[in-house]
Amino acid sequence: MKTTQSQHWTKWLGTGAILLVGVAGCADRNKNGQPDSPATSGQINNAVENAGEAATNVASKAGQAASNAADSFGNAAKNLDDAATITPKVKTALGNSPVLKGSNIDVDTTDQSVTLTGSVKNAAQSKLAEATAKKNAPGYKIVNKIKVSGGASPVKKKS
Amino acid sequence: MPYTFEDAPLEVSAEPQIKDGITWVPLRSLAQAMGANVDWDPDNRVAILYLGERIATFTINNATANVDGQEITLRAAPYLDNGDTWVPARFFQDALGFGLQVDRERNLVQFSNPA
Repeated sequence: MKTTQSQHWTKWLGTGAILLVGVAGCADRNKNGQPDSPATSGQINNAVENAGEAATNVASKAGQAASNAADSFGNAAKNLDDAATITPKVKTALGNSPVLKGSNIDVDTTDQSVTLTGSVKNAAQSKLAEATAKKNAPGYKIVNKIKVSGGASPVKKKS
Repeated sequence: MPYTFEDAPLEVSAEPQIKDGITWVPLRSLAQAMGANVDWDPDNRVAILYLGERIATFTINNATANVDGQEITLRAAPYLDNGDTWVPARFFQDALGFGLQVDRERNLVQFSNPA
């Protein structure tokens, strides 16, 4: 795709260069279309050189723009792919936990973060949900927005 | 001390218990001595072990534990005693890969890093 766009630009710029040479050759004409002073071969060479240089610069910029666009497109596709993969992966892991099974936890993956929302009965469950998400979404920032609704009455901490 | 890790003594609140031929260890106290953490979910009566990247859950009176999302069968069901969850010492070897030597005559439980 990059090569095709670059070739396309180069083709148009080549045409532009030829037109610029033509303009250079027609320099300093009077109203009858006759040259006041015929362009020298040096002037024409300079014009051709400048046109070629301009074409090269624009082609280079076009190539870079095409490359950037391709990169952006690739990154966007990667993010969508990651989001599509990470969300079900985290949801499955949460569902596999005997503690969190049946909990009301929603998972939303955007760019480089995974956001957990919903509610659980106690802080231990919230912490476990966050740890489980972290384990299954390496490299992602985990945003824990789970509300602790309160379940069993507080008891002396056991383990 | 009856517990060691890589030959260094561990400060654990209670000595190992032997019941029905199984050596039991207090999960929270032992885990903390090994640098891990344990949470307690009172609603489900579940102890949650965080050991590095590993996450394990133990339900009281249920011999099925969960390690990193996978169910495993313990040698016997964990129980509560003196404010701690007791689990079979072999769990650390069978599920987490630690080295384990149990000397019942000297009531000594020796752990070593996973191979």
